[in-house]
Amino acid sequence: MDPMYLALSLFRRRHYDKCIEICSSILDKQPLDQAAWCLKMRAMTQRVYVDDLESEDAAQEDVLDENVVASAPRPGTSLKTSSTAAVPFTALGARPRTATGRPISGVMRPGTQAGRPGSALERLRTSKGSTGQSARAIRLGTAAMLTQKDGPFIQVSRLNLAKYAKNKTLNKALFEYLFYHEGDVRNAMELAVLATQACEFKDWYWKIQLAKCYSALNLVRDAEQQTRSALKQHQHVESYIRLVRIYIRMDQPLTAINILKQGLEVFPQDVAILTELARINEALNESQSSVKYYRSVVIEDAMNTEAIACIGMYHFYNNQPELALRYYRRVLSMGAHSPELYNNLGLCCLYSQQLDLTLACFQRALDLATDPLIKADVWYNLSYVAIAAGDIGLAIQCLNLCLSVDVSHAAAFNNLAVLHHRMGKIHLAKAYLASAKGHQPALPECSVNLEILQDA
Amino acid sequence: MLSNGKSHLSSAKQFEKPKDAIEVCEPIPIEKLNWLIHLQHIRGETEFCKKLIASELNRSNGKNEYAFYKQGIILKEEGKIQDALETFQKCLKLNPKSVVIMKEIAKCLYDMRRYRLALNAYMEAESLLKTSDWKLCYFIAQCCFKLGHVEKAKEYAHKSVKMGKQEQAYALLIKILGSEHDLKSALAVSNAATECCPDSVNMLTESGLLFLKAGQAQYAFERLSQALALDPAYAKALLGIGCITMRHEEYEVALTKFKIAVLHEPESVALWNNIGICFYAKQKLVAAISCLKRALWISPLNWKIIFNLAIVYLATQQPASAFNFACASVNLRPDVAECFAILAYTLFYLKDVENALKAMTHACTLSPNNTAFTANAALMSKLLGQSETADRYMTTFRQLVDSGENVADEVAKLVENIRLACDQNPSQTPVVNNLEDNMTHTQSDNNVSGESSGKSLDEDEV
Repeated sequence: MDPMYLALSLFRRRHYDKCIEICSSILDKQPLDQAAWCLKMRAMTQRVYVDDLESEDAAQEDVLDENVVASAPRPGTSLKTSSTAAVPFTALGARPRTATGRPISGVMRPGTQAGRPGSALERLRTSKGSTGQSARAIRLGTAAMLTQKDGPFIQVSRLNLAKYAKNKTLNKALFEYLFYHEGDVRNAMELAVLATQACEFKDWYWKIQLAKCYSALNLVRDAEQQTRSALKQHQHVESYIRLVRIYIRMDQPLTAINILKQGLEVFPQDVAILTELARINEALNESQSSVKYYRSVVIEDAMNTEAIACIGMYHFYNNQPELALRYYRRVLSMGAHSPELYNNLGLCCLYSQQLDLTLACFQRALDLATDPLIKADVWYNLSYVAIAAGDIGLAIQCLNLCLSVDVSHAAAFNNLAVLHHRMGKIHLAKAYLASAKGHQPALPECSVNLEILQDA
Repeated sequence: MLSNGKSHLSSAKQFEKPKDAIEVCEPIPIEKLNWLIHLQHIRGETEFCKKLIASELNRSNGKNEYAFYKQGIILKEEGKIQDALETFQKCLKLNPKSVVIMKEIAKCLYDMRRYRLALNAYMEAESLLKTSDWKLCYFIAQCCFKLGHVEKAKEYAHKSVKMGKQEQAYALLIKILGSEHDLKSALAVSNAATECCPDSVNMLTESGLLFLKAGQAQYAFERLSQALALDPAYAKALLGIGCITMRHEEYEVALTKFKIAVLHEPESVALWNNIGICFYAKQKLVAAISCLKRALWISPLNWKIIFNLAIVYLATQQPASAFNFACASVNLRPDVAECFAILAYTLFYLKDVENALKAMTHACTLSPNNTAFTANAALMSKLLGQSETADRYMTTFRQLVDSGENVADEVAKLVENIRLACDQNPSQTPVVNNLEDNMTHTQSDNNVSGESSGKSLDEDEV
């Protein structure tokens, strides 16, 4: 069989490693075979490709952030304030968030890590490292090096970018190789600039790629310009979403919502756009409209885990744990199998009076949890099971276990303080409250409790 | 030379000056710019004011008392109490006899929660002052109360009330008397207070709630209505008035009151609990459960809510859930007889009469004068075939009736049935119905009025 044909077939079947091997052998024989070279590049890119729209966003480098935004924006117009202080105390009470400011729904979403309170410097102090795109890019780079025993596939520094930029068949593959596989944003951007000049600024693809590079280099305004002009040439869902991400980075959620609504006119009922709208609305603490969008997502795509989980969460915090239980069971029957899910199922069971299932669910969650943060949260919730049974001693033990897994769990410190105060150990309670405040100064409960204890 | 009519006077003065007088430079008065400092301060131009104070202090070599005083005030407004205290202490060195500064120092100490030092400062100020004023007395009373010297606090609060007749002072005195459980004097003071300031919503509500505690619902209703006439959305008064209407079994009215109040205080445990009880009384059990659940969500350790939930679940024929809540309430309050009684009822419904009897026996030992518990214990032991214990409970019941304890109609009927059962063994069903009626009695004294503490546990979900 023709090795080139075999390689193509392997590529299509996603056997990237074998495809790369065959391409290498072809290239050994004919070093200037452009087709094999291109295919090898594509295969290597695809092997490490990460959907950068749905993965964790780049950590915002506050230290180097030159885009100054108003420090006291009007309520409802900023994401930065809404995540910490300005949570409205509705009848439902404020919804809990993790210590990193991530809203808790049972689904991980992109971008929620970046919106955590505090600057980058503060984050460095709190020993919880930030995992952003830069770190991932580094990891990719090293991973790529490991797989090639006899030196790198392409010597980027010796590449004649101007030559390849004009070649329409090669330039896109080369760009993606540089951007995703090598993690070399600067050279990728150079290529993109040359290529967009070569096609006389008529190809929207290059504008989007340029925007990607600009946002990776924190040049947000330039990225916005490129994406907008790309959208004028060609309307694409990805372009809309990239533009929205840029606006969220600039902390302009209302503009982002407008863009998404324009997108919905072009692509009615598009799942990606609806999901994005729902996420932004939730970040703005407008859970009702968020759920409305998630519901339309589910009508379009009945298997969308994120939407189902978020609707479930909405019902849970709306005092309808039975309904929430149905949604989470649907997620479970779709094959999801994570500690978060079992934990949520356990909480729903607890609040809908199905105590026989509660402990079994939490047991599963504990067995599955490998991440210490999640394990801590499961123990924290187990303390609520103990409180629901009126067993204060067990609740204290659960909270101690929670703290043994995650030493900076401020809510656990706070609850320990309340329980110890109930047992009459006031000084211990004060000490716990003080450490809770030290770990998370924005937590309103511990300030209030401390106030009460000191007045008493 | 342009003049406006008076210049000739000044020029005349110049001429009057003797020619041979030595030109002595009149010292510029230290307090030259004090008026400007004050003006800038009250206009809120803090930055300029600070600069001015700094330059004035510099000019006077730190001798300008007023500048120091203003600096302290500004620092205190900015929340830097420690710095303010230091400034006031410098100020006091310049003028050790000043009562005003002493008071400021004491206030700073009070804000820093160093009550003993604050009290000392206030006492010193009082000794400097010839005639004491109501504010000073009020503050001294406050400090004493914080330090736990209730008698002294009461004395000073009385003095303050006598001198000033101020709302604050009245409130403090009522608080002190309330902490001593001296309801009668507290009521008298609150009456005087409402006479003195009839348009104070706080005072009216406070006195209404005191009347409610004293059991004089009519007066309480009057006071609370007055308060609501002044401020129709005052949650505390609405809660009190709702409670009174609930006691009169006008649940619709109570519910409308609570609904207004809950708009303004969505996180009040007492409100949600009472709304739940209203729904229960109207036999809307699902609504009752969801309201009580919300209350429990806000305050997971409140045994009264758990207790009420157990009752409502029993009414919805879910004895297993009710049992869970009953267990929780027993765990939280093992010293309350009603908790054990509700546990006994749930066990009875779960057909575990033996353990139900155990729980009921415990309830009877905790509260030996309750006729309903005694009667039910008699019933349970009868059903278990322990006729001797049943007879013993029947005799105690009779003794209780003779000693003048209240007996509800249902309980009387139940006892009658048991007596009949001794003769002819009736079927079990009518007895169970009676039992259910009994339970509603224990619920009525569980409507929490008054404010819940602001303590809260927060929920977390991954």
